[in-house]
Amino acid sequence: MAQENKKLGDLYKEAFNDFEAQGNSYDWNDVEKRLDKMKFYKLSFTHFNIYYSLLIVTCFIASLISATHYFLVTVPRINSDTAVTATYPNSVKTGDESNKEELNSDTKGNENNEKSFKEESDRIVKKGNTTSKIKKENLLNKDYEGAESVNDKENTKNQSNKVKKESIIPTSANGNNEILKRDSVTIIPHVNKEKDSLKVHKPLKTPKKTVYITKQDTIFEYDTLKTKKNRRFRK
Amino acid sequence: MINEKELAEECCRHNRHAQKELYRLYSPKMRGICLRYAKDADEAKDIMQEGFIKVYQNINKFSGSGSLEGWIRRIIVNTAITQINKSKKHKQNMQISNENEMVVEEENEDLLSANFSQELLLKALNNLSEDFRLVFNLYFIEEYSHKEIAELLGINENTSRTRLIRARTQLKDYLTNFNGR
Repeated sequence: MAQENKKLGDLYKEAFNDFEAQGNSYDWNDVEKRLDKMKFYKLSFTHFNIYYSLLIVTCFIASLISATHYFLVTVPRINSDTAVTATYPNSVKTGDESNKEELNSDTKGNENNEKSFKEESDRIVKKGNTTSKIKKENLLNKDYEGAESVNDKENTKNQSNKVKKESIIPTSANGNNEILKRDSVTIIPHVNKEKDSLKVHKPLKTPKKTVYITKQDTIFEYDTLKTKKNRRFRK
Repeated sequence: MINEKELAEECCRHNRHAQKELYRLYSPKMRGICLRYAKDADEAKDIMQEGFIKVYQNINKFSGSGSLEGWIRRIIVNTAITQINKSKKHKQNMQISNENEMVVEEENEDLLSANFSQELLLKALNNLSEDFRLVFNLYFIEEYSHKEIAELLGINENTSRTRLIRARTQLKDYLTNFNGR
């Protein structure tokens, strides 16, 4: 074997000048993956990249926020608005339905008035020993006024009121019907203002019950509570 | 067969087939270069991958006046230097303080027999420290001057010379010992 002495530098230069090393096929796959990644992060209108995905995510978040705002703020507001419109006065409505509602509300109001009156008077009787006479009388008169204005049939109601009045008057411990004198310390009885205000300010209308009778092409309108002549009109 | 310029133009348009063709044509030679600069095959693979990504990113800067292979080779070498400098920051195992005090005598070189295999020469080269290997490769194989090496590595020219002498000495010792066995 022929041996040739060479300088170290020349030896390496000759050996590695055209040195090639074969790799495996997976090397290109790695490079391709990195190229795809690079492409994804590069701004371009022709292919899908991070900017498109950011846009999608931003749109999604914006729609989510707007939907949340709609369902948490706007919809409850609309519901509350509709609730308010539902409590509009009956005068807005027209026709027989409004009349019926008025009737119902009036009768309910009367019932409520009577109920609250009873409850209140019972409570006053219980606290009778500590309540001043003037307060009681005022309260009773006030309630009676409201109650009297409600009822059309005065005789029957007055009778019942008298009975109630008698039952309400506080009596002393020995059972006599004499009214207790005012104590040195006056205690104002607890009055449910909300209920009272309802009682006082409730618009009380005379009930009206109308009956329609149709005969061939004519409709007869009869007010059962009125004694005046009834209306009569054609279809 | 497609010529270099057309291939470069197609790579500019991000044509995946052209990119693959470029890789197929030049990867074996570039892998050889990477193996000389790297300590092992894994590091060489990283350098080559990074180098080819840079090639694809900057292929539009290729003027076409020189050879495409030379242009890619330069990018790969620069990438190797960058990678080695990065990894070197973590390894401060070099004693640089005495480097400039070395007496430089490049001309008196012992002669070696030429029957060393490529594999053995590569093994001896990989046995060197990163700085010595870098200077040795750049000086002897890439044929850079000490001034260019100093600029490229950001070191003194004398440091470059000293590293080259030390690298040569270590290589000679390694090969002589191997030959004596």
